Amino acid sequence: MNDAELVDYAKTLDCIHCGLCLRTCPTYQLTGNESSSPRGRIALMRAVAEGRLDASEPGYGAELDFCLVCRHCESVCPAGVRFGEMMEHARSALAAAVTAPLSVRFVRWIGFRVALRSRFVLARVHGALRLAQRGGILPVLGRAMGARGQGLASLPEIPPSAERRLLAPFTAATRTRQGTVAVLEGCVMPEMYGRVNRATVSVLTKLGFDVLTTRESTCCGALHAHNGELDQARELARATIEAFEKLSPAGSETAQVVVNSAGCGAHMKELGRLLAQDPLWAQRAQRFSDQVVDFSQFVAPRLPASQRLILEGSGEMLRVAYDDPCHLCHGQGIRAEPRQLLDRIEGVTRVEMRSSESCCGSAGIYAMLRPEESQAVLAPKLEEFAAIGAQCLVTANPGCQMQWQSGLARVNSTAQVVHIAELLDRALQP
Amino acid sequence: MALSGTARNELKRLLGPRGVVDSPIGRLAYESDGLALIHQAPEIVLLPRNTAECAGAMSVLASEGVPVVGRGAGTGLSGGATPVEGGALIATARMRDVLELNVVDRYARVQAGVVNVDLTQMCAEHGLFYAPDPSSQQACTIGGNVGENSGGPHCFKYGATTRHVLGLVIVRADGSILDLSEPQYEPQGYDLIGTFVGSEGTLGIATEVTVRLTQKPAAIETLLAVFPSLDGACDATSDLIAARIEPSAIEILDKLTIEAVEASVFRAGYPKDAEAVLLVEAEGSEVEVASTVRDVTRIARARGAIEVRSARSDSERKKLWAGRKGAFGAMGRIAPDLYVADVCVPRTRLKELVRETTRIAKEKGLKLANVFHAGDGNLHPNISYDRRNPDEVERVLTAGREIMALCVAAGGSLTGEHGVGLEKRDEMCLVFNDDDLRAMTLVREAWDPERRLNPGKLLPIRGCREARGAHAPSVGHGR
Amino acid sequence: MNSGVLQALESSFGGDQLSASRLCGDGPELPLVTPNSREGILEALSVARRGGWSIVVTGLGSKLGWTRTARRADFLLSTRRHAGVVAYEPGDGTLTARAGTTLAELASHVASGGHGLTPDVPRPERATLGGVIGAAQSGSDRLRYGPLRDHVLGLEFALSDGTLAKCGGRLVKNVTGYDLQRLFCGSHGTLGVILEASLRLFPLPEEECSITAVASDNAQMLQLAGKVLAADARPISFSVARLDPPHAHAQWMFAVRLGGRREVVVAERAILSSIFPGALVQHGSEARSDAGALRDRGFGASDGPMLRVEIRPAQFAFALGVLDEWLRAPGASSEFRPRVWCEPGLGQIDVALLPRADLGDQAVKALAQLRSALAVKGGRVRLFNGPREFVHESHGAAPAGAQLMQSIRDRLDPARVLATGRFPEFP
Repeated sequence: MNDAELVDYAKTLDCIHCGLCLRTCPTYQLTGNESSSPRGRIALMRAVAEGRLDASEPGYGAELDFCLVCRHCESVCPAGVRFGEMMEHARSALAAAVTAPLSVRFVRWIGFRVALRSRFVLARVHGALRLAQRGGILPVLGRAMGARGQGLASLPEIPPSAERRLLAPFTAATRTRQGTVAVLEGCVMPEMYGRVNRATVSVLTKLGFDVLTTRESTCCGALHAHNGELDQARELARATIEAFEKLSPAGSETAQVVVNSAGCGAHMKELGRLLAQDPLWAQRAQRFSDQVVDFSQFVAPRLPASQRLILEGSGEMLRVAYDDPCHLCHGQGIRAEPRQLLDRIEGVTRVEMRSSESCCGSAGIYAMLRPEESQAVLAPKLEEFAAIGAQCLVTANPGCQMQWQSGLARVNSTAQVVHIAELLDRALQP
Repeated sequence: MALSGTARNELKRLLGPRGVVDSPIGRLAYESDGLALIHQAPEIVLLPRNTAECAGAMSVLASEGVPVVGRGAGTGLSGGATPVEGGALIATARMRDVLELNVVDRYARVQAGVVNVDLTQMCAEHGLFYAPDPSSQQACTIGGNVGENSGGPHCFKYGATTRHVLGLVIVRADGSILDLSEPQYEPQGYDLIGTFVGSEGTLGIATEVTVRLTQKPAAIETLLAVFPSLDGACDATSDLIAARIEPSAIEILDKLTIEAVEASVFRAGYPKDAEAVLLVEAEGSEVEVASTVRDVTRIARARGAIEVRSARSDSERKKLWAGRKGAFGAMGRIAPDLYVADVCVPRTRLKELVRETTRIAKEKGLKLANVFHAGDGNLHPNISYDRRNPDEVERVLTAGREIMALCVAAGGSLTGEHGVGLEKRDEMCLVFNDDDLRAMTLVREAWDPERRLNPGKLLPIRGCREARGAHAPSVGHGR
Repeated sequence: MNSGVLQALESSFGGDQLSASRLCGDGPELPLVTPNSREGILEALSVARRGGWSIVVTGLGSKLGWTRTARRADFLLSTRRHAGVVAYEPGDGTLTARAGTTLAELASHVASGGHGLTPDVPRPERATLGGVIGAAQSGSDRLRYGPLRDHVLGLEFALSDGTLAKCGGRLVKNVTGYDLQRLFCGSHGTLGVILEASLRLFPLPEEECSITAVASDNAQMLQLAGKVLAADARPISFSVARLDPPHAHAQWMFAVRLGGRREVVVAERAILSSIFPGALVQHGSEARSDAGALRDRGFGASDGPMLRVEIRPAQFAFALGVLDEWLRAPGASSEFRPRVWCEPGLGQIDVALLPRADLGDQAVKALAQLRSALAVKGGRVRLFNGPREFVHESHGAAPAGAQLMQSIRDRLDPARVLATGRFPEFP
């Protein structure tokens, strides 16, 4: 197959139309409409490939855009359909084949070409947003923009510039040295959740790891890939791989790359596949992907059994609920490790949400682009969170963290939202 | 008859803009159910939210004389929800409310679009469950189960859907509402509910269902018996039935199925070197379970089981069942398309007929996997194929017809749980004659005089005497 | 007796196939034809069609009083002599037999292969297969096996126009075609004549045991009944009878029937013994004869009038309370002399009434009161074998779907050959 084809036809044939994916699909749950389900979208893609449907029909692109690419369907698909990859391909091919309106192209250009690639721009944008937030302009502006502006209006508070500082290129282990790891700093992460990055490094150093970071790559390209900018995603992938390779001296074993953002981690683990057609990069990419590891996945087996984790607090147990980020549970198959870690923290009672594997509606930039649908996807989860009496929501992905923060704020909940690294860092004595 | 613009507007007014799908793309997604071989886009798709909306829509369609097909989650394998040309499709996907959960009287009243497994999860904390467990239970709806009288592994003990339906609200072809929702243990007058269950959408559309909830057994044990041959597993099943042992489920998976399952997200730990496994579950009191397990083990070993092991934990038990239930989908790994037969046979003749079906597939150069409800004699020969190969498709269809004819000749039937639908409609003449079908048609016409509901399904459109002439050569089975 | 009818029948049937019977106690005597073959039954239908006569289909006539009386009946057609086992498959646990075979004959036939069948009805030598299906009769073993309609696998029947048709099959699992078996179950011969039926069989219990105990009053009875139903045991039946006249310390008698694998019965017996310390426990043949004696006192044991109260099993106590209060009220107590028999696990209470030919307006009114009191929690009441006119009143208002039922009947029997006015025409 190549990108020129509108649809990865061979992959669509894996689907035998059994329908087991329906119940897991957030957009099908919202609408009850078959074309908004994984099976339905695959049927549309197939129809395009078979020439029974014209891809320029606006409805086709709309259904592709409507998908959150949470990949929940992949977790229940007995036929092993790689839905996420199919969506990336279809979106990318459609973007190339069909010219979007100028305004849309401009926004995408700004977002994908400029902002996400530059720390400088990202920092300025977030600085400006914070000013607007502080001055009370942002909520007003957001409301004025109507439905589309809801994302802006309910954006969690952007931290002050002191918080938005980057990690040191090297942080030494604070305990008996176990090895060296690299940490992905991320693009939006240092702007919105610098504290999560710092907690991540802190936990790793407390476990005896020297931590390296690189400033040579900004965005790993996950957002580009999910939104149909596959060419740019490949470009960014090469840059990312190169940057991390440089961290390890030539000839030495490449350090594992710890990722605290589930979406980035899932994408980086797939770079081998993304660059499989590129003879110069295929092997390098696969080698790199093999080194990528999620934060919980890395920490859980390395936390000594003797290590006590104690959360100091009011003396009462903190009821926490862990919400599986889609790209961690469905994308990377990681479900047990975060729970194991939480269960080791004294002072914490973990309660399960039945809907923990359902998408929270964040889905990368989806929450910004389609706030209404995004909030509708979150709504039942907010209800369940309240019903089980949880006081703290734990996640492992910045997008989800943002989504939960703004969602809980909308329903005037006082519950806190934390990344698992933050909670662990607090519980892990220096 | 085409749907008028006035009618379309009226439907949009009744159901709201999200309740009507009539764009080409929206309709295209509904052109097949679980039987993907047949495509037919509907003229319009309606997504009512409750009985009143459904009845309103049905009245409009009745006044327009438009045929109507009902659809749950579209997981059916016989084309029961395949749209008809120019017809409307009424799907229950937005009717997902639980209307009443009565744990004292052990019943639940739900909208037809509630997903089977959600019902069981909903009442789990009260020690109850909903017994019918079709393999598609993660997606299929209670309304769809009612339409097809769905089964599942555990209906060996608990019976198919019809035994668990205590009440229904039915929207009839003319748009009138038949409210039989009060739980009925004994019908007043004719058993309308019993007649409706399994009628495949030809008598009306169920919008609300009152179901019996069953108490969870005190003890439960799942056994996996590993066989060096498929024959051994079949013989063991026949012996279990003849010895009148009463487990709650007896399933067989053959080697090809095991390979597919073990390669999928549902890998269950089935031994990959086995030619077949027998999956048996015993439920009841501790003593009852222990006694059943002992007998099953003895019989399996006598028929050559290499190993009989018991699930060590609840999670292992769940995995064994998830593997079984994901088996059909996992076949998607073998080839792009799958033909699933659903024949039933007397349980004294399992081995012989399983062998014969395998032979038929082999003769035609087709790949056949067996995964079936052995205890009920309900075979599921699964034939993998690629629909882009028209010759292969033709061979698959011929094999399917031969398998049905073979099983009917051996005292079996066309379908045990998937329904007749569109797929097996013409084979009805293998089992029934024109007089039998006339009796069924009379009942159908009492419900739906214009035969506007799911037309062309279940009942042959041509008389058998007439059709038999056309069919006989390809089936090769004279009567 | 209509001489035209008799003449027409005599021309088709030999004297040994013709006799006379009454539809109900006070009704006129009618010709009764008992053909000895399928063709004979079709011929009887043809005679009726040709003469424009209306017939009542029966087996041995034990359940003719269960429904409203036919508005018009010119002769009776019995399937009793269309009898015999067609196929018993011990290896598959299924049985196919002709409609006229009695349950006693069937039970003894399948016992040879270690099988039993449901329903376990009183006087099984007087109940034909076609009759129990037509009347959807249940026995107290319904607690274990469920209603008969769950086990009728297939039917062969004749429509009144002479069409010979079948539905279902002989398989334990099958969804090929409409489930007309269920439609015919409980149709009281108004849709067609059942000629042959296939049934699912059950393992004959390896061990049987009956437990008999008493309770002093309603409260204790209900408490113990609750324990039995919640126990980790699956009795074949569990009945409770009100002792009449009551003993000083015992108003109720329990009868629990256990059966199944030996070790299971032993374990269940221990559980029940702990609920009923000092109970009388019988085994083997004694248990079986106990069960038989018990069954023959239960529903359908006599042709006398009886009421059946049906309610969701969990509302059993409510129904009993309502019934007791009603029985004490002046309207009812002057009209009814009850013997009460309960199946708590099935939500059934049967009240045997003293046979009286002249139940009056008072009784009709009283019955209506009982009906509306029970309806509060979804309960129902039906009268069986009552005086002719009274039965008409006793079946209550038309249920939902009555019109549809009528329409089904009109399609299957357009000439109204079968038992017009009998069922399910509601007032």
